[in-house]
Amino acid sequence: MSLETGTPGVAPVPRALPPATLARLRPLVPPTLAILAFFAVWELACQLFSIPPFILPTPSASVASIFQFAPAVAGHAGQTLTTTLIGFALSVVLGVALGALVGLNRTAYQALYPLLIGFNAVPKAALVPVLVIWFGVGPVPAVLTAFLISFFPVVVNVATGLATVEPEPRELLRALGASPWEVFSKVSLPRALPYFFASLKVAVTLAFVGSIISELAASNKGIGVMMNQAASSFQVPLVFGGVLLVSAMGVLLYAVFALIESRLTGWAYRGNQG
Amino acid sequence: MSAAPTTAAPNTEPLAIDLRGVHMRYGGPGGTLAAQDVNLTVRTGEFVAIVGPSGCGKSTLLRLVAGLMPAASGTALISGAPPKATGNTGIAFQNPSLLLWRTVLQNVLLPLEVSPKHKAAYRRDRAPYVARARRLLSAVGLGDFVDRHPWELSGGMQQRVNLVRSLIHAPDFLLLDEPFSALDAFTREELWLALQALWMGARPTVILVTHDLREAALLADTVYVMSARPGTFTAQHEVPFARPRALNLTFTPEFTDVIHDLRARVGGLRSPIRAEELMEAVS
Repeated sequence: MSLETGTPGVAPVPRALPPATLARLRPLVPPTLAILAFFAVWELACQLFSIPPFILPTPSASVASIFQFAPAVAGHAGQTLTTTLIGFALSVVLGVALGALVGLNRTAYQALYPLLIGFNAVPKAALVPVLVIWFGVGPVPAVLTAFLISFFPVVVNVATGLATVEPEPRELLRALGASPWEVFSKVSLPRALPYFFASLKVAVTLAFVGSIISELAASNKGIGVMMNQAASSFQVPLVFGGVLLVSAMGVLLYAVFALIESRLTGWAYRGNQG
Repeated sequence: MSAAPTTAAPNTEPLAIDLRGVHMRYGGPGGTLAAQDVNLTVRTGEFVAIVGPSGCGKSTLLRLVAGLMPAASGTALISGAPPKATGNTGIAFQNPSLLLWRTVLQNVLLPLEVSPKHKAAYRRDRAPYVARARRLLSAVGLGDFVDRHPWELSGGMQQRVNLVRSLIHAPDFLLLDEPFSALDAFTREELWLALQALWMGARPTVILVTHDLREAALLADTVYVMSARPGTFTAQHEVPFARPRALNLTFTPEFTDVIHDLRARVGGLRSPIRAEELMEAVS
């Protein structure tokens, strides 16, 4: 909720991190420690039990291999990130549209919900060969798989958010002479935002799963392709390097949406603040 | 009733609400009959209370007057015209239904953003409206809470915000649906006096739906008793006490007489509980 306001014309005084910033960084300490501990245990276990690198490489060796093949890895990572984000963007746009339809209209809800459930029950990996037949080997199946796998949580959450808006505030606005659009924009939309953001955090990580699945099955570029190639030449550290990279990109995007969420819908999480 | 402290002058203003032979139905034609053959006339600036058992169609009548639900049959006239949601109505429900993402002040200003009567002027210049909202909030003891969010407020404070919001746009009609029934007894009494003061200042036409006979008798000019569903008015009671009415009034014999009288009329409508039979059945 706090705003950084710079006074124009006054040069900022350089000094150590102000207490307010330190207080805001404090929540980051436990997760950072947990991640470090995880890698420490992994590293120590490999060294202690002398696990050969072609079974389980140490995290340091995995990271090192990323840097060793940096230019190639960057190309693959860029491809995966791009296809993931395009697929994710598609699922946000279409998911919000369909979610709004289903959430605001009872008949649409009853008609489409079983279909959506059935659609979601299909293992997306099984669809990749079909997509490849239709669109050929390349980025399109990856985008579509990312879209298909991350679409459902957006639809369900947007629909739930809109369908569960309390009737009293809506009646109140209607009685005040508000138009249907005003009722929607002032009550239903803000009320559904926490649901929407919750779905974005899930959807963006799922989108990565989608593109990687597709790349592993059939593609010519991307982290999945890189992991396939590395595995077939017994470059196991690079396989794990790919896993770590995807995981890091997922966490990063998750964090971006979590940040936007806390800025826009902090009111919904009041119970968690101190 | 002749022993009342002072008698209020009868209201001779024009009719604000005129319901004749109104039937209300849920779920379209053939649906549940919620209210039948309701006749109600309310004069401009009058404070009317409706009491009756749960589910007797009191709230349905409010929805009719608010223009949210049409009558199944009969005629309903609000200021001489069929009911319509025009923004000339303030509403407060039992649930304060404040928007959690807005501060207290932003919640109070909400009606001004949508009421067709005010929104153009409000968009042009918010300052006088904000000043009015701040004055009202401060008068109900929430001056220090204008920038807080609803969840930081107690139930009684939220209901005060709800009351102020229902009046911010100076509506001619105020419809209150059990606004105090979820509050503790002391908070409720405080808010009765707040509501009376707000009403005496702005003089809207008020319909207060309530279960609380003391609340009805303390605040209203006229109390109507409604029967169980399908609801219809079975009694009408003028409350003669002069304004402003103080809480002490509720402890006078004259006031108690009014309550007893109302109680007899409501009590007669309920299906009686046979205590002896009940004790036997449960043993």
